[in-house]
Amino acid sequence: MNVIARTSNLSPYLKATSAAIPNGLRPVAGSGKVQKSKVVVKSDVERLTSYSLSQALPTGQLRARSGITGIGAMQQIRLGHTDIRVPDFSAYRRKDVQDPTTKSRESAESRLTFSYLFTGAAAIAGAYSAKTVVTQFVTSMAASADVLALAKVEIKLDDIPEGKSMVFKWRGKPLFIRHRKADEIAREQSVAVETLRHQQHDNDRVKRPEWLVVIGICTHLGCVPIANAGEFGGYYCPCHGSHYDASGRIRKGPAPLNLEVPPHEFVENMVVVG
Amino acid sequence: MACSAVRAPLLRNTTVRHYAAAAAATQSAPAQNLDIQVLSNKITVATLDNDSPVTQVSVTFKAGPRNETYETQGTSHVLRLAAGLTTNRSSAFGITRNIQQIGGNLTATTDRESIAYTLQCTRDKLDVGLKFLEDVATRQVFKPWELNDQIPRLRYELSSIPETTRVLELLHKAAYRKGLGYSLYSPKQRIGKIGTENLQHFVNTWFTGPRCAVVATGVSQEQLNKFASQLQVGSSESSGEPARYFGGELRKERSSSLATVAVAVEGAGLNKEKEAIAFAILQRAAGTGPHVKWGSTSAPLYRTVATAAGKDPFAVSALNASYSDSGIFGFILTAPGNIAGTLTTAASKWLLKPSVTDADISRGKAELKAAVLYATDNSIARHESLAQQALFKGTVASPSAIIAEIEKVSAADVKNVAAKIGKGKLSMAGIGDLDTVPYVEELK
Repeated sequence: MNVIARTSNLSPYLKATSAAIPNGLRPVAGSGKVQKSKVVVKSDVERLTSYSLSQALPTGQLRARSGITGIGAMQQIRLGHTDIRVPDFSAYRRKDVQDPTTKSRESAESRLTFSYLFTGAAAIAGAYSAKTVVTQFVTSMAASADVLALAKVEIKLDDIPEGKSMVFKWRGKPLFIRHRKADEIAREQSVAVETLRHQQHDNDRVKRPEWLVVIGICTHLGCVPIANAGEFGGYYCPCHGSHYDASGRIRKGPAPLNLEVPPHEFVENMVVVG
Repeated sequence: MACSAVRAPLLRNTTVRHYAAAAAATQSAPAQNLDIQVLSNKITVATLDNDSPVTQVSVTFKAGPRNETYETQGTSHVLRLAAGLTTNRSSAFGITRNIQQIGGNLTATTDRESIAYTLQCTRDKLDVGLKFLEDVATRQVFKPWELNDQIPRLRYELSSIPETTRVLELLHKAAYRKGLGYSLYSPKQRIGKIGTENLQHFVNTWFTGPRCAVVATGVSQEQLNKFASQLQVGSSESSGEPARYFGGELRKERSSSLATVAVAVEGAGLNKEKEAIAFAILQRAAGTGPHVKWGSTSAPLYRTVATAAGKDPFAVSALNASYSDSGIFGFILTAPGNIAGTLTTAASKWLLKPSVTDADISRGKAELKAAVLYATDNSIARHESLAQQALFKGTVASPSAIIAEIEKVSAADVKNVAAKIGKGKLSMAGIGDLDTVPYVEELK
């Protein structure tokens, strides 16, 4: 039938075939046409009435017009709402106030507390570190440890007989060490403190009651007093007549203060001064 | 006790009417000096110096789709889009920026036979504007990379042409086949194929002095003469082929719920002026659709179609296009696909045997005169009309002269041209849902 109805050389072109399930033996005829995306512009209105249809009809001469748009649709228009960038400070904002819709007053307390605590902590830490730094600089001006070690004297107490006051040299100054007798100790202990010019009890001035360690410089004008002399049986300054008792306290005369007790400590039967 | 201040004449009601009673100053109509002359480089220069604050200057050439060949279709579309691209004197950016800076407009307008480069700007900035108008109209260089950049724009334009416009393009194609039949819009297969050389050749051939008119409103004749005399255009007097009407049919099926149909026969060209005016009157007499929103009209063509349509929506308008040596006359119709066929048959029946009464003709005349005068009111339309007159007729007529010409056409003249329609060969174009639309053979 086909042979009669259609010329054999045309018949392949008078029908179209497509394989529903490709089997790989007969190649599927590919069109070779690349699908290109089409510009589709939809009509602005759907015309359904006589009036809108008649508006679409052209009445005058058909013309096409275009303006100059050398570089695309170029316009010298600045759009304030898109062109100008509003400065963004959110990098500087706390998390609580990032959201513009929340009230900042609600988070004010917690933010303030944090600010104060943080500032306070920072201030304390700052003050301590400042103190450390300052002390370091100031102490650098003090004497070093070897110098301080040289500034000590050790005195054997066995060499000093009871009732005797001996003189040593300590840091260029005379140092009196007195081995007191029991009655001297009792006498000085019993002195009423309120009667003294420079009120110090004997116990405050000695570490072992039988040993008195004082610097032998009169507190008046710096003379060296004489031991076992004066009205109170202790020291007497010959320059202006200051009388010290057996505890080195001023009892009479112009000196204002007691004889100075240097820092000292006893190690067994030895005293270390300095 | 009356205070002396109350007695002061200034504070009392005036009993004398001062400026209120003064006679209105007679308004002097602005001077309307129409002038036209042909310069030594054969450019026609026409001016209407009407003191308008906005000046319009057009450089127009008799070059359009009509001058294309089968191989160069679409050239005038690309040429229109290329207006404003880099020229041998200024860059695209320079043109755009300078025109925008003076607050001006620079447009290119094409119809089937002509292209017009129109500048609109204020009078004081005219010097700057004219420089760039000259660049755009006569100093094109068509850089290939800039032409490539216009392709997306071209595609977009092609995709946005409404069906009512497309059907007229198809009608022209069916009626003239080539020449006037070539479309205002580039065919899709020509996109990207029109290059620098094609355009330059087209410009060199058709943008010549004898085919050029420089028309302006709001400028003095001397200033425009100076501008026009230094335009660099060729001098060859090439003339295109005369238009030849064939007739035929073109249909394009599309996924649209509407069908748009245009049917026409050969009308009259502008070279037969009286007939052209008679056809224009006949067009208005036949009816160009209702003038009132939601309204109807008593025009015969409209009534015929409305009777056939019943309650269904439709739109119909008589169609008249006159070109320099030919024209078409007919109707364009758009309606839902299911009734378009009936309406087309009814309308063509009327077209092949047009019955117009004297009352219809006098209404048509009045409508045409009104349309001419309304167009005069609109400065842009008036300028366009001047440019067309200067280019194709070499004369410019005032609106009153045109009205007088219309008056001269009698009802008998109109009936004469109407009688000739039935003998003409039909052209037909259809687009959209063409299910019921008859073929052209069925219309006879």
